[in-house]
Formats: sequence, C-alpha cells, structure tokens
Amino acid sequence: MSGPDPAEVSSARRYRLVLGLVLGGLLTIALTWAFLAAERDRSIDALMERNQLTLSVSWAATQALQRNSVATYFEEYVLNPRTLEILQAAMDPERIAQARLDLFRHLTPAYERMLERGVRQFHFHRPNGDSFLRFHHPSRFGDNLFEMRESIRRANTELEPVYGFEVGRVVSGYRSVFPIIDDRGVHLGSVELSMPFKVLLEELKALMPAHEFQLLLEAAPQREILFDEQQSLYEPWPASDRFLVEDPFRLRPDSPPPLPPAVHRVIEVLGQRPDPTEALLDERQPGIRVSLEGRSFAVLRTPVTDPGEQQVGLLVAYIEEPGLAMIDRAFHFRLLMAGVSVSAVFVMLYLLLRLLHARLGERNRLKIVTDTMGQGLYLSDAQGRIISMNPQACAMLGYDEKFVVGRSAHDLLHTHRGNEFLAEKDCPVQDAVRAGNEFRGEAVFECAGGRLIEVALVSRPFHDDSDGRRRHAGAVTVFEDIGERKQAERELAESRRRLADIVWGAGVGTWEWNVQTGELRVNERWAEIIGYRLAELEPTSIATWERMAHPDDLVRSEQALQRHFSGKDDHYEAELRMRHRAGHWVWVFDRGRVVSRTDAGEPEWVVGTHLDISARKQAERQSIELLERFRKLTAEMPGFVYQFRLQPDGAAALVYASAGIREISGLDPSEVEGNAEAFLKTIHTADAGRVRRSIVQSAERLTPWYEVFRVFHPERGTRWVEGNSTPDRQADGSTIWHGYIHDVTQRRAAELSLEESEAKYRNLVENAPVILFRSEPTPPWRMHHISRSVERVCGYPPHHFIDGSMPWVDLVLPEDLPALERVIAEALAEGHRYETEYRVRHADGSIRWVSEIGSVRVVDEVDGQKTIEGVISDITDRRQAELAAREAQKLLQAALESSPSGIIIANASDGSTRFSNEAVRNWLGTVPNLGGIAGGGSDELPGWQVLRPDGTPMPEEELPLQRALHHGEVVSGNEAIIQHADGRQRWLSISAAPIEDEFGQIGAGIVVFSDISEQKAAQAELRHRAHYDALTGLPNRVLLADRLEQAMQRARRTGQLLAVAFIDLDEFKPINDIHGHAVGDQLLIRLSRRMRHTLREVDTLARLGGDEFVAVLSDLQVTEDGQVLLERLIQELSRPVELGGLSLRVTGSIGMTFYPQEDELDADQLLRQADQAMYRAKVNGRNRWHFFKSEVGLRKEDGGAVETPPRLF
Amino acid sequence: MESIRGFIATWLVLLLVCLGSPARAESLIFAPLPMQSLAQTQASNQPLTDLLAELLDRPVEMRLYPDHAALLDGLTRGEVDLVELGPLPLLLAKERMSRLNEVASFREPDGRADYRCVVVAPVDGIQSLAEIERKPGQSPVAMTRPESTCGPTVTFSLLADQGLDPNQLRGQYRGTHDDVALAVLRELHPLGVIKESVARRFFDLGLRILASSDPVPGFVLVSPAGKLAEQELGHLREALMALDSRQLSRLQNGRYGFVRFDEQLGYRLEAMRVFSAPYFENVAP
Repeated sequence: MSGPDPAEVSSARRYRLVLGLVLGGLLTIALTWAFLAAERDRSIDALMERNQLTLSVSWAATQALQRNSVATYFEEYVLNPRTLEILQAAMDPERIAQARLDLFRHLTPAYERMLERGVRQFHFHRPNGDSFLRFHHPSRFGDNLFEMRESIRRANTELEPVYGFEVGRVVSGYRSVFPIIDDRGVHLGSVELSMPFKVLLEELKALMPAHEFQLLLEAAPQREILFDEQQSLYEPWPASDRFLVEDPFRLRPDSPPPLPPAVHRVIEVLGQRPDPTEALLDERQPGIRVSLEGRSFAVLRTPVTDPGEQQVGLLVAYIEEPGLAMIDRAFHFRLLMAGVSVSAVFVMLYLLLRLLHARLGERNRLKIVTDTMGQGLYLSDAQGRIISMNPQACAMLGYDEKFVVGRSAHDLLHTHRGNEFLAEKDCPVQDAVRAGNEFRGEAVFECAGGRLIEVALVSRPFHDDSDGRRRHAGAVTVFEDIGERKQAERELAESRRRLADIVWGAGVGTWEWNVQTGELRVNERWAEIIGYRLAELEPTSIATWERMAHPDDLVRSEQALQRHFSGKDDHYEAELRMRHRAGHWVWVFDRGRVVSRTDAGEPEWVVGTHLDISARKQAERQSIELLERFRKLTAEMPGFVYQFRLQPDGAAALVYASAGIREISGLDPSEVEGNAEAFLKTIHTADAGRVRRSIVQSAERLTPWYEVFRVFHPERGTRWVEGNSTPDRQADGSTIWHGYIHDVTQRRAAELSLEESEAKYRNLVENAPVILFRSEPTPPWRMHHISRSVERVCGYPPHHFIDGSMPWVDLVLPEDLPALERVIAEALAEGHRYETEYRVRHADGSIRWVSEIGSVRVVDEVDGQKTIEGVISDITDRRQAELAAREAQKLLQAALESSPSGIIIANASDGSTRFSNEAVRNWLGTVPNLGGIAGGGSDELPGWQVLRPDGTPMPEEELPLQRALHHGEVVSGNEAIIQHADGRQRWLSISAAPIEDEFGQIGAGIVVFSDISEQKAAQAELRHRAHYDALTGLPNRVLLADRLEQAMQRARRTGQLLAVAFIDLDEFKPINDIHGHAVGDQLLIRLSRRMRHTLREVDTLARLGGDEFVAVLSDLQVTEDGQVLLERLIQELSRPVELGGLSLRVTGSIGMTFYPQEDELDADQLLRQADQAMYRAKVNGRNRWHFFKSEVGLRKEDGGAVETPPRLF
Repeated sequence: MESIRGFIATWLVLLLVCLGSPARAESLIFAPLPMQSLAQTQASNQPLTDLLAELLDRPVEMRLYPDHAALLDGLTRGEVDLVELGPLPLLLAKERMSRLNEVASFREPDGRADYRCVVVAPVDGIQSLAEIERKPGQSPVAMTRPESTCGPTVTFSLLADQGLDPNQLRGQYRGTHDDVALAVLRELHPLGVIKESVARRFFDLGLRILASSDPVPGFVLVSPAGKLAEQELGHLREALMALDSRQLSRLQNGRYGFVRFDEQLGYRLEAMRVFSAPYFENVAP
C-alpha cells in the first residue's frame, strides 16, 4: 500500500489555486462590466432623448410655420369678394354647377401660383361636407367627406380652423382646413389647403440638416380611404408592412427626394428585428440605435397626428450619431482598464504563490540529485562536522548516514595509517575551505573496517549572509573513487619504458615535444645523427631543435606541422637538413603525430622520429644534375626528341619529350610526360587517323616510323611536322620508340603554293565564260586545244573537237560558213587579227550566236606552220535583246500612230518635230514643224491660235510642251481652246511630259492632246439644267438664291432699293385637275413669258416650283417703282390665256418686301417676308398684292394691315 | 451503380432547372400610353402591369414616357416589349417598324373596340360650331399632341366634316386630354378636341360636346416582333379575351376588357390622316 504522490498532491493544489484565482477575477470583471454597461445605457438614453427632443420641437415648429403660410393664402384668395360671391351663388342648388365652373376659372391662376409655392391640394367643401371642387383633381367632386375626414367635419361644425397631418383620398399632406364665413356670417363651407410632406421636409431639413426624414403612414386606414387609382402610389415600408411609404419611386414631382443608400440599409437592419415596429411605437424608448458596418445610427420618431389627435403615422428621422460610437468607445476603454487592473492583481497573487511553491520544489529536487548522483557527497558545518551524506558516499565508505552525522569528517575519513595529515589544523582541505577557497585534489580516505581508497575530491565552502556579514558556514565535498585509474597510469609508464628500448634498437632518433610548454625530449640516437651525445645537448627544448635545423627548412617544417595540427594531414612529415657537429648538413626524414591535446583542443604532446637520409639525397641530386644536362642539350635542337611507349593493350604514353615540344604543339613537356593523348589530340583531325595507324603498323612490324602531318599550335595555328623514330620491343611486350619530330611548315607551304597555282590556272582556263582555242588555220579547223566551256556553248565535250570526231566546221550554219572562211582566209593572208559573228548549231538542235576573235600565230619559222588562237563567246542573249528592242519600237510606233489622241514628240534643241501621229496630221491637215498647241507659238502652225479656257490668248510660257521642255514639268489634262482663223473653235485636253536621255538631260518632249469639245458641251448643258427650270426656262431656286445674294450686295453698295416679290397663282390647281397637267404646264409657260416681258432686263424672275414664282427687282429708287411693276404683273397675270381653243384665266397674289431694312437680314428672311405678305394677299381676297410691314414703315393701301400672329377666324 | 445513376439524374435535373430558370425570370417592359400626368398614368396602369405579369408568368416592369413622341422613340429603339398605343401612334409605329404584333384592343367604357374624338366647349361657351364663323378672331382650337389620334389628324377632318374650312383653322397643342379639357373650361380656347370618355369625366364641371368624329380604332396592346415567342403571344391574347369580372375589377386601365384587334378599323384613320396632313402646319406648338 502506498500513499498519494506528493507531486500529484502539489499539482492538484496548484490547479485549485489557479481555478480559484481565475473565478475570482472573472467575478470581479463581471461586476465591473455590469456597472459600466448600466452607465453606458444611461449615457445612450440621455443622448437619444436629446435627439428625440430636438426632433419633436423641430416638427412642431415646422407645422407652425406651415400654418402661418397657408393662413395667408386663405385670406388672400378665399376671403376675396369675388370668391365669396361665387360661393354664395353656390348655395343656390340651381346655380351650383355654374358656380363651380366660375370658381374653377376664377381661382385656377391662384392655384397655379400656390402650386409653385408648394401647396398641393386646394379643395373647397360645401357646409354639409360634400366635396365642391378639387383643384388638384377637378373632375372628382360631390363625395361626402365628413365620415373619413375628421378635419373637414370639425371645421364645418365647430367653425374653427383645423390643422394637422391627414391622409386623404388622393394623397396625404399637412392639411389646413378653414371654415368660410362671409361678411354676413353665413357659413359657406370650408376650404382645405394641403402641403405635401416634401414642403414640410424642406423646412425640417433647414432646422435639422444632418438628419434624413421619412413619413410612415398607418397602412390600414390609409388603404381604406384612398381612391382606387391612387393605391399603387403607396408601397409598404421595407421594415414592416404596418406602415406605408407614399410614392417611394417619386412619380410625383412633389415627392421627397430619395433617401441615401446608408439609410436604406438601416431600414433593412430594422426589418430584420423580430418586431421592428415595437420599438418604434414604444414611447418609453427615446430612440432606436442601429449599428451598421461600424457606424452607429439613431432612428428617432415622433408621432404624426391628424386634427382629431389620432395618430396616423410616424415621422422618422435617421442620423448617423457619432456620440453613440464615442459612448461605446468609452465603455470599452473603461471595461478594458478594469479588466487589466483586476488581471494584474490576480496575476501578482499567483506569481507570489508560485514563488513559494518553487522554493519547496527546489529543495526536493536537490535531495533527489544528491541521492542519485554517482559521486559521494557530504555536507559539513563550519567545524567540519558532517551534516549529511548521500547514499553513494555511504556505500563507497561503508558507513551508515546516521553514524557519520555529527562526526568530524577529517577525523573519520582522513586519519588512517600512513596518513601524513594527522592534525585537523594541517589538513589542506579544511585549510582551503576555511579560507573561503575551493579545494581540488587527490587524497586517501579510510573506509569502515580500515580499507583505504584513493579518491579525487572537490570541497567548496558555503557562507551565511543572513545577518549581512559573510561567515563561513560549512562545505560541500564531492569525491569519487580513482583507484582503478591510478593503477592504469602505473601500467602505462612501464609500457613506455619498453617501447623506448625498441626505438633505440632501430637506429631511429625519437623526439617528444610539448607544444604548449616547448619541452623537448629526444633520445641518444637523435643526438648521434648530428654528431653529438645526448648529454652534450641537454637540457633539450624546442630551441635546441630550432638551433640545429636549416633555417630554410624550418619554414617548410612549420607549414607541415600546422597542416597536421589543423587536421588536414593525418601526420606530420618533412625532409629537412640539420647542421652536423662537423659543420656539414645532414638530411633527416622527420615524421611525427599529435598524441594528446589540451582541454581546449590545442595540440599538447607530439611524438616523432628522425631518420638519417643523407645518402639517398646525395644520389638523387646526382641524378637530377644528369637530367638537367640532357634537357639543355635537347632544348637547343629544332623540334623535340621523345620516348614513346605503346603497351600491348593499346595504352600509349609519352615517357619523355624535350622542351622543343612547346615550340611544336604549345604543350609544356610536363603536360605530356606519361600522357600521350595530350599530344595526339593536337594532331589535325584529317591526319590523326593516319598517324595512329602508322604507329600501330610500326609496332607490329618493328619498322621505322615516318610521317608528315599537321598539328595545331594554340598561338601559331596549324603547323606541318615531320617525325621519324625507330621501334624497340621491350621484355614486357611493350614497344618503345626513340625519335625526333620537327617543324616543316615552310617547306610544306612552298609545295602547296605550287600545287595551288597550277590548279588555279587550270580552273581559269577550263571554266572561262568564253571558249579559248588553238586550231589548225584551215577548215575543218581541227582543234589542238579547246577549253571546257565549249560544252556549255555547243553541247559537246572538248575531246570531241581535239580527237577530230566533231570538226568545228560542222557546227557552223551553212549560210554563215562562207563569210567565216573568207574572214579567216584574209587574216591568214595578212597575218592580222580578225573578228566576226556567226551562228552554230548546239547539240540539242538550237541555234546559238557566237563571236569569234582570233589571230594567226606562226609556230614553225622554218616551214611556216601556223595555227589560229583566239576566243569564241556566246552572244545569243545580246542578239535576241537587240531583236526584241527593234520589234518593241515597231509596236510603239504602230500604237502611237493608231491612237485617237494627237501625239507629237519634239526635239528640245530646236523644237523640230521628231514624230507626229496620224491623228495630228488628220486633225491639223499638215505635219507640224512644231505644233502650236505644243509650243513655239502660232507661227509654226498657221491658221490656229491657242486660247485659255476664258478665251484670252495663251502666252508661250504657259504652253504645255514649253513647260515640259524648259522646266521639266509633267502637265496633265490642261484644258485649252484652239481657234482657227475662220472662227472654228475646239476644246482640247492637253498633257505634256519631258523625255530624258541616258544622262538625265531633257532631250525631247511629248505632248498628247484630245478633242473634248463634246464633253464641254455636255457639261454646259448640265450646268444650265441645274440652274434653270426645265419647264419655263426661268432661273430655278438655286440660281435665284445666287442672284438674290448678288442683288442684295449691289443694293448695299449703291444704296438703291431692292424688292422681292413672291407670286402665287390663284385657282391654278382646278385647271390642272380639270384640264390635265399638259394644259397646266402650257399655262405656266405662257404666264412666265408674260411676266418676264413685263419685268426689266435687270430683274430676275424665277420659278420655285408648282405655281410659285419670285421676282427680284433691282435698282429701285423708291418703293413706288416696285408698286408699278407689281400692278403690271397683276394685270398681265389676270389676262386670259388662249390654249388650243380654251380660254383660261387665273389671277395672281403677290407679296412684296424691300431691302435694305433697319435690321440686317439674309436672303431666306427676305423670301419668308415676301411669302408672308403673299399669304396676306391671299387672305385678303387674292388677285392683289401686299407689302410686308417692315421696320422702315412701308405701308400701302390694300397691304397696309399690320402683321399679327395667325389666327383662326 | 444504382446510386450513381440516381446522382447523375438528379444532377441533370438540377442543371436543366438552372439553365431554364434565367429565361423564365427575364423581365418584360410594358409602356402605357401617356394619356395623363405621369403619376396618374402610373397609378392607372400598375394593376394592368401586375395582371400581365400574372398571365405571362414573368416579371413585368412598367416604363413611363412623358409623351407620345418619346414613347414611339423608345419603341423604335427596342426598349419596350409590350406597349399600349392609340390608333395614330400605332399607324406611326408601323411606318417606322415593319413588324408589330397586335395583341388585343382595349374596350372602351361602352364596351366597343373603337371610340370617338369629340369637339368640346364650356357649357357657357359657344353652343354650336355654326357660331364659330360668326365670331372671327377667336383663339385657336386646343389640341392634344401631334401624335395623338384626337390631335390634328382627327381635328381637321372632324371640323371639315362639320362644314368648317380647314384652311381657316388654326390650332394649338396643350398636352394631355385632361389638359385640353381644363384649358377649354378655363376659356383659354373656344374649342378643344379630346377623347369622348375623357370629355364625359368633365361633364359635371361644365364641359359640353358639340360634335363627334366617326369612330376610330381603340387603343391596342402591341408587342414588337421578336420580343415575345409566338406561343407566349397566343397565350396572352387568349388570356386577355377570357378575363373574368374578378380580374377586370382589379384593373384601372383595361377594366372594360379586351377584344381582338380589327385591322379594318385603321383604314378610316389613314384616310383622315391623308386629309389632315396639309394643315398640320396650322397648329402652333
């Protein structure tokens, strides 16, 4: 059976403590939160109440303001004598309908003014509550309103004004209902003026600009009384359908402006509450708070009551209230501070308790450590008496703890047989700790039963500072049994002694060097190597070594040592010199290794050996000197000598190569020694295979090796080398060559140059574009030599001509052969060069033109033997090009001759005609020396003269060919008139261009011209049609506008009057309808002629279309001049027109206006004035004229009426 | 396997529902004829808008235009899917757009599919048109709008039929039919021409009818080609013909029911337009 674990008990206690502290803290925080929350709610209520009060007061003030406004309207418009008179009439049932109409007419202007000032409804009621006239809905009246409109009932029964917000059958609004009582005290009914909520809202906004307002109407009563057609103007409030919102889509112009989006979201949040209207209707709540996206809004409301004090809805105000957020922030800050304070107190309490607990724990842990540690430990007091001893010490010493407690440690443990320290006062351990120092050392303890053990002990004092003074209080002593270790040390010393004997026997000098202290131990042999006895050198130290060693070698030795010390090398090794006692230097092989290191890892003891290697060094030196001489010898040679070994398995090695290899391949001898591949890789790839094969062949046959090949030198480029060597088979089967390779580049270059020169010449001759030949001088002209290009020209290879199988004469076309024979015969006779062209037949059957240039050469002076040498070239392409050019010229000439346009080419130097085509000759009747149209004046073209398009003579410098020849211009499509002496004229379109010679100089010019007389005539016809009326030939509307503008300009310039007459034929349409359009058209033609003859030459008569004409009368002195012309026109128009047996009569109505006038005006305005005056003449009875009344005061009989806006009758 | 097939079938059904639902939910735009103020037009047409949505089983939104010209422009630009047009606006719309589907004609209060334009005067004003010629210098005739059927198109023809010379007639536009009636009642004009049913609303206030035109086609519910599927058009047409009294009692505009559109009625109006066209310039804006 075991008790509860103390650790578990402690842990449970700690948990209970923490839990208690946490619960206490939370309770404190909760109480604080409750207090602060109540404080915050009071602050919010106070803030909301202030807002609510502001809303109530402002709403009351707004209503009072509106009452005052409408009272003014009532007094001004209703208590007006005329209004009262009409209303009195309305009291008579017989006159009520007329009275309503009269009232409507009388007050509609007033209602329109009130509308502008915000009044929406203006409604008269009869004394019995019947609707008399709604100005806002005039067609609806007669319905009784007493039942549903409390305000109207009260106004007509109590005869006192009634004010209040009230819903209506059309719209809701702030109503003011006034009873109407005339001067005699008769009650005539009542009138209601209603302001829409928008007007009140504007007033309210002026008082509370930061708020947004919304009117909510109780849905049930509002729906009940609305006219059906008005129902759809109301929508449920989004948060609750208990209320209605009027015209949320603002279909009416007097509806309030839309609410901002944030307020819509506030309403959405309100709608998400279980009962959104509960808080709104609870009068005890000062307002509703809505938090939205980090912003705080206050929703305030005040009841809206009707005149009967019944609540019909709510006026709701929305505002973002920063005060709410501030209260929240203050609340959160206070709550945070309280939480932090309470937490700090409880944390401190917790830390205190935890410290106490830690102390207890530490004591427990210390005991566990001492009980479980591997060393013995005891505590002693200031007097050296044991206070406690751990189990390990008890076990090591064989004592029970109870036995040792209270005894002197020195007496019990240190005092034994053989102990030097019999008295406690002489005990070094006690001495040290009493002096306040730590003792660390070895001792012998006596165990129970007298057994002695060697121990290593550490004793450290501790002190008591409780009274402020430092006093020795005791010591802690830790010890361990070191008996086994001491025994091992003794055995090691014996082993070292035996090893020293072995070394002495080997003749090797040994040394042991303490790197840290510089101590150096050497043996006798070490001293003998340098001619001393050990005794003569003692005492030895590292300085002894440094003194004996060669200074140059000490550096190398030091580097080797450092590499070993740092771990890079496994051991230290160096060959170095030491001075012998006799004065010479002795070579020693020095080798050693670190055998121990300090605690810090630094090398401590290094042991090693010295071996005398002076004899070996001497042999090496002699070998090196011999090799050096050989190297100097070979270095002087051009090229290099080498030894090359090829193993039976194919492995190759360059055993030796002299320094000359650097000159050959750029490789250092050290790079190729033992490495044949380094050199073989420098061999040119084209030669490498051959070289390798020849080496193998030489080894197989043991024949001397010889090759000329290329190697690549990194700086000198490719070099030609020549190598030869003799093989020698070795006992191991390998083959060794001793040989010599040297540079033959210059020699090789000379050889190659010679070969290349010959090849070039051969190539030149064989591939020349012409045929080089040497032949017999007479037909068939057998060839001694003919170049390869003959195959390209004739299709046969050269040897056919040389062996005689194809005589040259057979190739020549028979028709060209006689001439060729003749030319060559003449050259032979006279010995000169000859040159001729003839045709040969190609092997493929085609004909080729060739040019042959040859000369006669005498090859034998004695017998006069001759040959012909020369060149034959293919000129087929050239001959074909010449042929094509001749054909093209013929074609061009034919084309120019057949062109319908006249074409002349004239020389620039003298203007003479180089070419003129048939069109020119036919047209001018002669071949011009230089066409007058082209330049040179008319003298060269008798009978013709060139004119500009305006009819004036064209100066010479303007003539197209002159411009082309003298200025290099390209003239395109210039129009000109050419006129004959007999008066004939033709229109020409002329183009000209310079013609440059091969040097870019203008050598000639070409002129091309065509007759465009018909085209010009057609254009003139089109122009006429565009400006003249096709039926009458009179100017049309387009030309009239132009003429009128010109006439106005002239009038402004001359100061004379201009008249515009607008003429419209009366009763023309019936003639068209009865007699047809043909008769109508004839009538128009005849009448237009008459009018034209009536007017002066300076006047313009134009037809606008149909039976409308305009006359522009210019240069009038006075308006009477125009009147005279008008009367003549009227007279001429009214005369009957005889047409094919018909006697037709129409008349004309004419409107006239004058120019200039006081106000500047344009042609269109003038025409409109004349048109209006014509209209007036029509209205006044037709067949007459009428002057437009202008600002200059023109006024005439029959037309003198003042223009007024058109009226119906 | 069974469960996989079930899952795929469910997924396909959901996919089809998802693909099908947006098309069904697409809103239609209905534009009523602006016969009154915007507020009154909206109020009197909201029930009809709701009914159309119910019959078509699709959301229908109302779009208001300030006058006939704006409505025709909106129609031409393709902004509306269903539109109420008077006979003349219908004629004008057909000249601008090649394909219009007439859904149904609105019944007039007397149950007919046509109506008349009437010449009105105040009860204490002129008693017959014959008095007009004896009173030269009168103000022009009050007319609604250029695109309104009872505007210049019917007015010139109607008064010419009554023996008045159209050349001598001058007119002035006043706006809605109500505006014309009120202007005449206020004696701003001796005469006005408005729709007969509107004139009757103002009888009690003192308006009198002096002459009536020949019947012109009633108002028509129209849909531009391509806006409604043929099946939907047919369904709507039949549903409007078959409205019961309960449905009709909910309506303001349209509460007298609908009849099938008769194209023959439009020919007379075209003749009136041809006759009156030369005199349009006699009407001041």
